[in-house]
Order: sequence, then structure tokens, then C-alpha cells
Amino acid sequence: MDTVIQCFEHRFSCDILRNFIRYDTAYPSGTMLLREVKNEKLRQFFQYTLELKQEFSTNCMSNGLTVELFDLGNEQLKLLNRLADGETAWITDPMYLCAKQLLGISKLLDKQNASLRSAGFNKQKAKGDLEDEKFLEKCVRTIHTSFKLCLNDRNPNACENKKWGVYLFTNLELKIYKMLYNRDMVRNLVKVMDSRVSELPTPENALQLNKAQLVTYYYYMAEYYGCHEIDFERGYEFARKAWLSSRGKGGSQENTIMLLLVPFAMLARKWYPDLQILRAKYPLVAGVYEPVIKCLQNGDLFTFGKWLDLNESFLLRQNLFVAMVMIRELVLLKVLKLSFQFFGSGPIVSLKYVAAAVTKSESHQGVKQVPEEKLDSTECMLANLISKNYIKGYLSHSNRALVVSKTNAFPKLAATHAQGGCP
Amino acid sequence: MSLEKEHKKTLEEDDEFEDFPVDTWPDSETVKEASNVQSNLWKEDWDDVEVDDDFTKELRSELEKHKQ
Repeated sequence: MDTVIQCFEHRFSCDILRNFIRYDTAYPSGTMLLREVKNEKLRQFFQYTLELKQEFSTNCMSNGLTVELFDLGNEQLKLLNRLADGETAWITDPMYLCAKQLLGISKLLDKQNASLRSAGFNKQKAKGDLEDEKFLEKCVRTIHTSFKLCLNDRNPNACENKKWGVYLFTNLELKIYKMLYNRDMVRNLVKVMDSRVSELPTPENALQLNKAQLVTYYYYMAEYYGCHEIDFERGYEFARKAWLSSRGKGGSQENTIMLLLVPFAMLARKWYPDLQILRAKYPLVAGVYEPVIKCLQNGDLFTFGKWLDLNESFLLRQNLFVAMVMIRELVLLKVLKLSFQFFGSGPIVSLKYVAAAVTKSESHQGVKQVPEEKLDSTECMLANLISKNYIKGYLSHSNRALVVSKTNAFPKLAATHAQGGCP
Repeated sequence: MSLEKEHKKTLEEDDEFEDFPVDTWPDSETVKEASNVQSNLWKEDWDDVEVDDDFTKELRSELEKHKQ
């Protein structure tokens, strides 16, 4: 206990303080009595932390976590937030531990409540049309206060400024908003960070001794830009940085990063992964994307559509459905390129021929006749591809024909490593 | 259960971005430094690569009928 008090007096964090904060560790030994702590806020913080430990050891060991444990944990972080007001950067470490602990309690309590509800117990009382608030929603409010304390610290001494800790709380908030499926709050948080970027240390500097947090930050940014904002270039850049800074030992984090990186690389750089390497290094990810890579190579729209249907709910949960739908355009482009190769020489191709290729690819059925509406939709698809410079040429609507460049009808789309930087 | 379904199930269990078991690791252990995977993983030739599978053969023979 004496060391814990010294941490606050001399402004440093250590394992003894970290252990003291945890609800599941024993009472600290020491000679200091609570009533001898002169700082009222600090005394309350100690008091609540001790009650938190007491609550866990008395009521939570056998029957699961209690609401009281959450309330005490929440109060613990609130008190530390109050203490942090006049403190320097050192306090962000215990604040982060408290916040992370509170998040852990909230997650477990929400899970406990969900399983009780599904078993028919603990039916939520309706408050008008609103359901009871989740523990995660309650805890993120206190964590957001910690975030704001770091973000708005005006300490002129850059080394002591709590802004160094801002990314720790950003990561916690992003994690919670993801669990709550709250995209608006993610967007708000990213906007706040963007608007203050000139005042903040870079994530690389702030988290240089904590690669786990750096990779986590990159991952959430990749997901935000690629999946929410449909900005695949930025999504790809963040996912690439997350992957490159990862530990390189596989594991669930790397799989989750690769799950984003593969489609973002396809869309932003028009690259696809070597299946042999992907299978060897990330077999789970290869198992998911292998059919897509094959469709990209052979232009098989039918198989691609089937894959998309089969994986719809998985992709929606991973926020990747839109990205994968957009990859369909590349599969379409491949079937068009193939059909031009099969057609042989000549820059003028009838729309019927192109429409037959698309129909065959979409249905795997023989094409006896191409209906007029199929010609219209094919013309529309081609117009889109021409406007994106995927095809060099023009449409002759009156002749129902596509006229392409004699030299470079299908410009190479993949960014070279020199253009796109080393992957 | 198909292999693809098993893969999805395992990845879905990782729905949340899990906390790393350690806070940090040396640069030498990162993907960037530790392996050459990063320089060999990506391929650029999807639009040029020639595939000779059943679908491509069927497409070719179907389009033969529509050439004129």
C-alpha cells in the first residue's frame, strides 16, 4: 500500500500499482492507513478500489460478476479521472488499466445478461420504447472522459502532457463502438482525432513501446476507412501497416488483419495474394478468399455470385460485404477481356457477343438468344467500365457495338510496386 | 461441415479484434523484418493470367457460336 501511495506522490506507475487496481488481486499489505491519506480524492480512489476487491472476493467468485462490481469499477475510473486532472502523462497508465478492467467487467455482464435473457430469465423492463442500457454503453461514457482528459491536456511540457495516452483510449472506444455496432460514434471519434492531428503526437511516436496498441489502432483505422467510408486506398494503407507491424507468428489478430487486407489490396491496388503463400501463412484466410481469387483469374461471375450469397451474413458481420460486391466488377472485367481474346482480331465487337459472354459467365447456361434488355444492361456496364478507364474505347449505341483501342483495349490496372510502394 | 464453413466459423469467433497477449515485441519479429512474405505475397497479373479450367473452356466454346 505504501508503494501505491508513493506512485501518486512521486508520479510513476509500476506493477504494484497495476496489481492494486485489479479487482481480482489480494488486498495490499502495508502500514499506511486510509485515514492518513490527506488527499481526499486519492483516499476515495483507494477506498473504492478496496471495496471493488472485496465485492469480487465476496460475491463474484462463484456466481459471476455483479452489477455492484460494475458500479465500483466505474466509480474507480471516475475517481482516477478526477485525480488525473492535475496530473502528468504517468497517470495515463493506471487510467488505461482501470478503463480496460471496466470494459472487461461490462463485456462479461452484458454477456451474462444476454444468456439469462435467452434462457427466459431477466426479461428487460421496457422504458417507453427503449430497452435498458447495456453496461458497455455506460462504461464508454466514463472511458470517453479519460479520452477527453488526454486530448485536452494543456500542459506546455510536451513530455509530461497526457496527449501521449490518447491512442490508448481511442482504441478502447473503437473496440466498444464496434461491439455496439455504432458506426456514428466511430465516425465522430475519428473526426475529432483528425481535427486535432496537428496537436497530437503521431501514433508511431506515442505507441513506439507498445506495438500491440499500434497494430490495434491501425486495424481499427483500416476498418473505418475501408469498410465504413469505402476509401479502399486509406483502408489498404492502414491494413498494410497493421500487418507489417504484427508479430509475424500468425494468430487471430493477423488473420483478422488479413481478412481486411486482401480485399482492400484487390480494390485499391488491383493486387491479389499468391494462393500458395496465403495458404501456407494464413490458411483460414486462404480458405475464405480462394474462390474469389479463382473467379478473379477466370472471370466466373456465377461462382462469384454463389460465393457472395453463401458468405453474405459472414461478410456483413465483418463489414466486408460492400467491398466484396465491388470486387465483382473486376471479375466482370476479366470475363470481358477473355471474350475479346476469344473473339480474335478487330477492334469492333458486337454488343450481342459481349452480352453472350456476360450471360454465360453469370448463368453457366448455354445462350441461345440475347434479349434486348440484356443488351441495354451490358451497354450500361460497359459505359461504367469505360468511364473508369478500365476499358479504352467507346460505345456505338446505334450499331450496338463496342469499339476498343487497337493497341491497349484493357490497360493494366494493377499498381506496380514502384507506383504503390513496396507492399 | 465443409472446409470453407469451418474456416469461417473459426474466423467469426475472432469477430472482435483480440487483445495481444504481450504489449510489444522487437522490430526483428515483425512481419516487415522477420520474413520475405511481404515482398512475395502480392501478384499483379490477375487480368493477364491464363486459366485453362472447365469454365474457361465452356466460355470459349459458347462464344464460338456467337462470333457471327
